[in-house]
Amino acid sequence: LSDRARLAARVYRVLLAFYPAEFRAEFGEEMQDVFATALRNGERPWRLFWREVRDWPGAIGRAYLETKKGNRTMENGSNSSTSRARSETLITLALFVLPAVPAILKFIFGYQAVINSIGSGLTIGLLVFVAVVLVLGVLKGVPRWSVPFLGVAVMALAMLELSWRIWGLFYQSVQSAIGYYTDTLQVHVLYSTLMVGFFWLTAFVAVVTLVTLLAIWPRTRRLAQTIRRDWTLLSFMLYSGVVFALLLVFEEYRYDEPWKIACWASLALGAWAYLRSGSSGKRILALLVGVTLAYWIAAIGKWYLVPLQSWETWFRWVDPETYRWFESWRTLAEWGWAILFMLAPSLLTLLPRVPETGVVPVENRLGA
Amino acid sequence: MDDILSRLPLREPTFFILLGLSPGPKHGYGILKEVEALSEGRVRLSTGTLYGAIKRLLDDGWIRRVDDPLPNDTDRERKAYALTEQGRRALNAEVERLRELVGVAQARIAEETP
Repeated sequence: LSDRARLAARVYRVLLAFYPAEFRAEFGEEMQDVFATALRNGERPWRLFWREVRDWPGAIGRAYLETKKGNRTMENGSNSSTSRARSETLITLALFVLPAVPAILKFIFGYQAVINSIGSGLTIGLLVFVAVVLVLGVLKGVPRWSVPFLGVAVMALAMLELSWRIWGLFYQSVQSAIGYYTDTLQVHVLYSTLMVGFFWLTAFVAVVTLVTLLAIWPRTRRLAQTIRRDWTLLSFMLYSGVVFALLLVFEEYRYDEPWKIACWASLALGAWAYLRSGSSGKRILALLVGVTLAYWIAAIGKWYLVPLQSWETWFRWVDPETYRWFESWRTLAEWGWAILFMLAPSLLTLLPRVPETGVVPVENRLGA
Repeated sequence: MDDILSRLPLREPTFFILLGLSPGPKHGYGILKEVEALSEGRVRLSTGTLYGAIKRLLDDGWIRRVDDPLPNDTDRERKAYALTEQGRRALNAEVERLRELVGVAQARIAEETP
């Protein structure tokens, strides 16, 4: 490409800078593409450039008028956009609140067969709801309200299936390496910490893999692009997985309803604060507070609940009093891993920044 | 329909853009070339005029963004534009208006011819 063409492209970029910011954000990149394509297709640079200069004042004036008109329309439509934002917040929060409903029923009405049946029905309903929102979200290009649903689905799959399958391949090696069969408290603590860390690692890899795969499909590519701009969205996916992870934390426990309800309420609170926060710092803080409250409530709950359970025969290597501490420790270890993996997406900030729309220099495209 | 009629007559670039999109979706550069071809080289749009018109047409719902049906030699996703039903109705209304104009003109010229 000739030097004249490169110079024309550079000056064209200067002309573009005078358009309103919104107009540039919407069309700047495309306009540069069209200009570059015209140059590549052999159009004379200065004739092309003259056409732009000739129309420039009128085009700028109209662009400002259109943008102003558009802003007024947006103000008029702000009521509908507010109600849409509210609906999206409600859909997102439903994921954190609805799992608690069967537990609330059990807590109020006790362990009755009919309550168990209603609870099972509600759980099935919740699964259908998650599946429907998930499908809708993927079809709509994975907007923010659908991200936690994607997160909980992947985390559930990873923690229930993938992690166990991979862990099953080498858990015996780990056990023999750390002397698991000596049955001391220390090795059990170490083994549990490693295992739960591995499960979170698998879930993290699964979530990242899914986002990478979704970036291939044009309809869902937007998710990866949004994550490059706001890494906390990836943390939010992992955070949503805690909704499911809590079911495993309290697996086999009885009388755990109030603790589970409090855990899910904490997660809902964190999610709500996340959706309302304007900066990455505030958003990740909201998630960290939510997950910390949830796991610490679970850990304290377990400490109280262990003596109420009837499975003393399950552990022969420690006395019941120490087992309380062990169960609480396991939960806090999981909390530590959760925090670590939720902060891991912040490493994305070390990558080169994604250029905002319209800022890729047109002369850089010319050589493409 | 009243809304469309109130927007007639269309400005020439708008008319050619809608006409250029009537066979199928096109990306920005494709529209430029099509307008040039349809006007036999008389109307050569700048990118500023083109995208100003595109913005108005998008806001009015006469065109919409679609995925570019043509292969793209860059690594970026390229968007194309397609006529909406409303845009097609506007184009047809303008063509009908022009046809009536030409009809009236031809009739008057025929009367004047001895």
